[in-house]
Amino acid sequence: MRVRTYGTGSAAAPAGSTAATPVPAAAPGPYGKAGRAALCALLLAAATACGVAGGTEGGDGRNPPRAATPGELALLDRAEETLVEQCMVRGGFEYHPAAPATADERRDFRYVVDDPAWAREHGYGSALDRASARERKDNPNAAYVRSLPPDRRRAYTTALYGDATKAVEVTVPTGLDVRRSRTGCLAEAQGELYGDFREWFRVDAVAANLPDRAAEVHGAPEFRGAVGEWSDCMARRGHPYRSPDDVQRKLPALTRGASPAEADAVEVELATAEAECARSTPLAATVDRLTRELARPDREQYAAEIEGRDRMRLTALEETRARELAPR
Amino acid sequence: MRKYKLALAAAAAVASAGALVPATTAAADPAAATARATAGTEVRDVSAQDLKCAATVDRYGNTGTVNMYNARNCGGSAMCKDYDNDSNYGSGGACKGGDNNATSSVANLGWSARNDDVIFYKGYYKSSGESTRIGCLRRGDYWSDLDWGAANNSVSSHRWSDCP
Repeated sequence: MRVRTYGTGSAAAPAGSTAATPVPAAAPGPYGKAGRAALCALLLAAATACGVAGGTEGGDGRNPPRAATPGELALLDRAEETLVEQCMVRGGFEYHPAAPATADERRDFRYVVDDPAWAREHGYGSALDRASARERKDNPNAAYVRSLPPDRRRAYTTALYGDATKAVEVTVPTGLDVRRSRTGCLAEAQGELYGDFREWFRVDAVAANLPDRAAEVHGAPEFRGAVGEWSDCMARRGHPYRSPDDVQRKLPALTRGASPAEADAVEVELATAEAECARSTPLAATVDRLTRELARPDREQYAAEIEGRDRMRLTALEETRARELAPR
Repeated sequence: MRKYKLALAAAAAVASAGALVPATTAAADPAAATARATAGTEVRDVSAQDLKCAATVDRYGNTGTVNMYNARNCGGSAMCKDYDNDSNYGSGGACKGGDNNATSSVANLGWSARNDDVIFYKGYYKSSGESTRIGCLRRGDYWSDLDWGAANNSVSSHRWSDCP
């Protein structure tokens, strides 16, 4: 997946921007002085969130780098927001870093809810979704932007998102072209955090857009069989549904006219049964196995990008941790 | 748009070694698909047509929403703009009625960095047997043209998330 550049007057593509080229092992230190100081403070405050030990986690040339944990993704989000804030303030704007999404919010149950503890707390996630929508609409950045006159709003947009005519574009595995400006504070923060903005954009866009295999999952006989067993389990518990999809189709009618609290209670009851039946029948394990197997050809085809992204993330994490210990 | 990409591919030095062909080549025109798959990282000037997504960001400012357009390149004002999820463009939510299966370009202009990615689907995303994930669009990113992914006029739901 090659990254294409848009915009006049740019230099030729940097050497090594090909799919087959791995990310350089020794990335240049990405932070400026102010960035390092801010990240030290950030890391001291977030020290308890830094979990995993080092070792070969960054990939030693034989073993692929491991994927970042949800806690580490949150740390990277915080680091990026800190860098964005510094950049926006330099540009004369206010910027309020958002708290990263929680691990619970990051859960995505595509085929069936299979975590009873999560289901007991969140049902199908409607309350999380509502809170999330409210936050997107009314966060401090929203209030600030709304307070600006139109020409300042446009300047804010340009400062944050950059000049969209100076963009990079990459074709992802599904065939779509994704574009992102290579100027502005988001691009600058990503370049600082990951060391190479173009390469980060390339591997991240590719890894986040592998082809969807839901049709193949649903077509697998073992999936259909497991859904049948799940349905029997649900019926024995007083919830006669043919499949998790059947629940989702019928849920709106069940909660129509109910208050949010009542609707959430209905969700919790159903989702908990769904998750417990998913665990007590082969459904949860079948979904895990099938999704892994069906994704394997894609993960092999795009291994360079997936590993590149994992490696760039771990490198960025190590850099931020190193800076926590640095000022002696 | 297609002619533009073909002309550029023909003009550019084609470095086909190591090129990755997308797993799903949806283009009906094999020559265009080949040219596209082997296009290199040469700098390309944005055409006047391509500038519309930039113009949207510039003219309409930072709206805090994800914007769906029924023309390519974010042409015109957005068909629908949403802070929230919409599990069925055909009914309810910010996208309604004729907005269903009509999206040809998208811009993600969210204000918050939290749950700031948008995942798009053909079909009803809550039902995995009746939906196909089209893709994840991160904050600040846009799709100028959904044709190449065979996703043109196919979006019927979206949700905000943090794509892994």
